[in-house]
Amino acid sequence: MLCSGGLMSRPTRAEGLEWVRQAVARFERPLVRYALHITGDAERARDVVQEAFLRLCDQDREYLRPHLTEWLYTVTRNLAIDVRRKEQRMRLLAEATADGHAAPGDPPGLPAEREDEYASVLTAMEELPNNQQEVIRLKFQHGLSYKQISEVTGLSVTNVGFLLHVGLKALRRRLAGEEGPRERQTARYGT
Amino acid sequence: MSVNERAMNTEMDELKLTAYALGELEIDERAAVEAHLERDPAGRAHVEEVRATARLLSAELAEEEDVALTPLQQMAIERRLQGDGDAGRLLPRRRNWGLWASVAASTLIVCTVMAAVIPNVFPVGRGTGGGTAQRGGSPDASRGPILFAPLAGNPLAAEPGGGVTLIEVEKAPDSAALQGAPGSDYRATDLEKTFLEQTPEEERAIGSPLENQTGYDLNARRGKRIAWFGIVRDIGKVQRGEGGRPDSYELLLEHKHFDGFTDLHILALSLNGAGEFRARVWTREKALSVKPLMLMRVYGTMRDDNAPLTGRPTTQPTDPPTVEVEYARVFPWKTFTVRERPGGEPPPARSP
Repeated sequence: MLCSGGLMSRPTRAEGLEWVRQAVARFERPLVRYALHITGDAERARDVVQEAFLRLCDQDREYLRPHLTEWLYTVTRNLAIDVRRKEQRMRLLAEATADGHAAPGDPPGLPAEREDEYASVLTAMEELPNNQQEVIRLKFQHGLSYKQISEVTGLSVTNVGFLLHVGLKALRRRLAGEEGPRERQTARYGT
Repeated sequence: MSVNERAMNTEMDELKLTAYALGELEIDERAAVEAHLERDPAGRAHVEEVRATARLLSAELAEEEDVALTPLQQMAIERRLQGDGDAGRLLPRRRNWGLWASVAASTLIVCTVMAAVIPNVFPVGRGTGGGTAQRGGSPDASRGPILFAPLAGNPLAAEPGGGVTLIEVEKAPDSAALQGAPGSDYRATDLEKTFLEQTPEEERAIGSPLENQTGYDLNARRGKRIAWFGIVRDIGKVQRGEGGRPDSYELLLEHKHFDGFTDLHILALSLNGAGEFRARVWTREKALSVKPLMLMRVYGTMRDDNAPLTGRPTTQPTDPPTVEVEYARVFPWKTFTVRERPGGEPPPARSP
């Protein structure tokens, strides 16, 4: 007679399927949000997250379960960065072959004069370097801990704490009107 | 200590206070910081500022647009889960019931009945009925599918209700024509093709039972995939899903034979509920966009746990067959017309 406390049996096929389905239900939207922030395109973000879940289907549940969140965010991040880099290469190539040149000044979508500059903390956040934005999003939008963010981004825990601290400090200053807008910083993902 | 060293220490202290404010310190460090804060008003102010900013960020970031995977992407994941061997079928096959009495001999009666019914249901056409279905017009240029049920679960669940039903609603008025044209291909939408291709060949075949004389064994369809047309006659009360499952509705549909593969099908259904069948659809939306009198083509699996279909003409109607619907194409009024079947038989004289 089998009893509880005996040898753990391997998960049944049904359990294995259900595990992935639960992961999809729980992480689908947060991951698309995260990927969207990196790729800047909803369709690309969806593709990235679909691919992450497809890869999840092939993973060992028992091995991955304790680190599922970190694994999903890491895979999504890496795929999204790849997509972003490819898009950038394509865009650069297109620009190089184009006859005209973009007019200098603010990038598209950034009006020359902005009233109510930091009415929203999110507007203020857009002025932060990308790596600060990313850790802020992972912390406050996705609820990841310093340690989880460290595993996802490859940064040290100390570095994560530093980026968060500096980012929050900059936001507070801007919201308080102590610091004006500055050139958009272009710290790159994965660097 | 130099000015720079003092500044660095201050920054280090603030880093720790930020981590404390965000709940990131271990127990022993937390206790030490709390002891320090009791005699450091500036430190306490810093902690409060960090927490206030954190609350603001959390609230605003939570308001950002929510984007989900598309139904097709959900399906791709599910198919990977099911493995290649199972990729061709969406629901588990169940035991087949034995063949029941052939109804082939009654075919002509069925055709006659439908010829009388269709002109009343679809007043736009000249109304001979009795033909097979074909969508006319541009298949995709003037309309876009409305997928009102973003999948949050498994659309192809091993058990009913694990996912939601994909529903495409025709939008362009009069862009489609349901036209009797034996042998013509039914023009499925891109999404619909996914389900059409998974429907057995004999269910997809366009033709008349008068031509193939094979009849239609309804009991043999139990647990198998079908693709039936029907007019929505009634929509049951919503049944709220529990444990994260989607809500479900049971629709009562009056079967229409635009399927074309066999009119005997109608007779088989009529013996078990006046030509009706039930369709269970699953949704996470607040309301179902399907309304009475819309025309639907449903793709799914016929349940095999209804009351037995005896096939005896004398049997009192029992519960009509039920289809667990995975995909439905919905034609609201004015998005379709019914035309005379080209080259078909002239309509039989109607009874007064």
